[in-house]
Amino acid sequence: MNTRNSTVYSRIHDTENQIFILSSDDSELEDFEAKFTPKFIQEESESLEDARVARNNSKVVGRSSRGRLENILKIPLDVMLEIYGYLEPIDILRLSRTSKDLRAFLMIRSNAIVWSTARSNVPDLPPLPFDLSEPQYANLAFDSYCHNRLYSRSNLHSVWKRSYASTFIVFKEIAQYIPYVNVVPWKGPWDGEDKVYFPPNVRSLRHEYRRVRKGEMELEDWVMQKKKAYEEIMKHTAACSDWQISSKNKRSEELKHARSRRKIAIYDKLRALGWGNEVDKLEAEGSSLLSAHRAVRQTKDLTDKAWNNMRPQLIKLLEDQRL
Amino acid sequence: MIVLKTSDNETFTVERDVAERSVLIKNMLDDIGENSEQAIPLPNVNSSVLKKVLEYCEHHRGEPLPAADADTSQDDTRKRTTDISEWDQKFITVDQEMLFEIILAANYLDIKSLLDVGCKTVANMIKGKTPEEIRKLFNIVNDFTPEEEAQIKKENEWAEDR
Repeated sequence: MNTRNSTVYSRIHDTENQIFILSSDDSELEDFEAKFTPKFIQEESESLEDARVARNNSKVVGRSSRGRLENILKIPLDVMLEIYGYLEPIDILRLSRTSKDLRAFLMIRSNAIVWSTARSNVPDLPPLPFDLSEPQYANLAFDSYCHNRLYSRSNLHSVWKRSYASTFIVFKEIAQYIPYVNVVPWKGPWDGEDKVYFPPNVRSLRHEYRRVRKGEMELEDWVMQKKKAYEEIMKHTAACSDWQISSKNKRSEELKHARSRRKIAIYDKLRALGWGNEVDKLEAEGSSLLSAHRAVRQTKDLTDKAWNNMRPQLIKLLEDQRL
Repeated sequence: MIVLKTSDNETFTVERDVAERSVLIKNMLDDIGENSEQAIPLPNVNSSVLKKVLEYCEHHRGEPLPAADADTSQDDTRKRTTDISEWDQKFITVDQEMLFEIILAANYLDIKSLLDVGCKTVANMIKGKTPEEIRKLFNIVNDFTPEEEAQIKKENEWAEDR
């Protein structure tokens, strides 16, 4: 896990005190990007590690023979599409990183249906935002920054906002329409700033602004365009936050049910052994002695084996209650 | 009874309702008529795979066949579940070569429900795996250099936009 997560406040709002740099030659900004981009968007160490693993495994691939149909690419396309239809965006993204053939197939716009189908397999995921391609959205929502599989989903909130928001403003005119995120100035590489922006965003804005400077576009129109884009992005960001929070809630709800199912099963067994009074007494007292017991407070369904293992411990615990 | 002949020239005699789980065979039977004694050649399926496929058809005989256009009527906004029934799960627990052979046979013979079981199984194998784990699983050769591999992680635009 990236420890920087903890330094980022996820709240985004408008404020009068924008931090921005007005620079005629961009040099200051390029410096900023050079300094911070690696920390924001590069994942060098992990990439290299993956590459190393890949090299080590090349021997294994040659040696093992799983049969004649070694290559998943030999499956007919229509069948392959059926299989993709059951996957989620993160799986498609990872498939696209396995080999050149698969990458070539999955990373073209005409096969966007594979990605959109995969998105539909993620309950309540907000729709594709206007400013991202399918692979970009998949990467941002499921794989960005935090490559730990367990955390990738739940981390969406901070990833999302930080990516959109780490933008560094160069254009006074649209400062208030560039998404940013609040950070704790003294935690992380923020150099005392309390707002950060996403460098690639700034770069593209800078390029866009050239058209205004050249008179190809009215400043006013451009500002309006950016305002509209900003509002749309913020709306989508909010939808993503809601989705992320509700998936997290759903998950904890599921865990809670699983724990209570196990607890009830154990209590029933204890009652059947004649410990009903002690169990009820503990519950009535609000004691967590039994309910938070290491063997009880788990999300796994109770098995006979687990029950046999915990029984002596629990009975000892209840015997103490009897005194 | 229907006689089926595999690519390795083995013949299987099965009841009509079992064989007709395959839309391909059903259509063939409709074409050649009720009383033909002729064996139906299945040049794309070998005997070990057909044996397995027939085991599936036998178990599911009598169940309603999905409509031909079932797929298009499926609600696209609904999550497609990869749940597999207990019997099917056990049935499809085979080595990878057999799994792919079954998928290919189900596709050729047009047995939609069996194809679904196969595809779900492969999807479940892929789900949650890293690129390297996927490569290992399917013996996909990593033809990226380490530098390329580091680079593609940052390239998430469509190929047309790069």
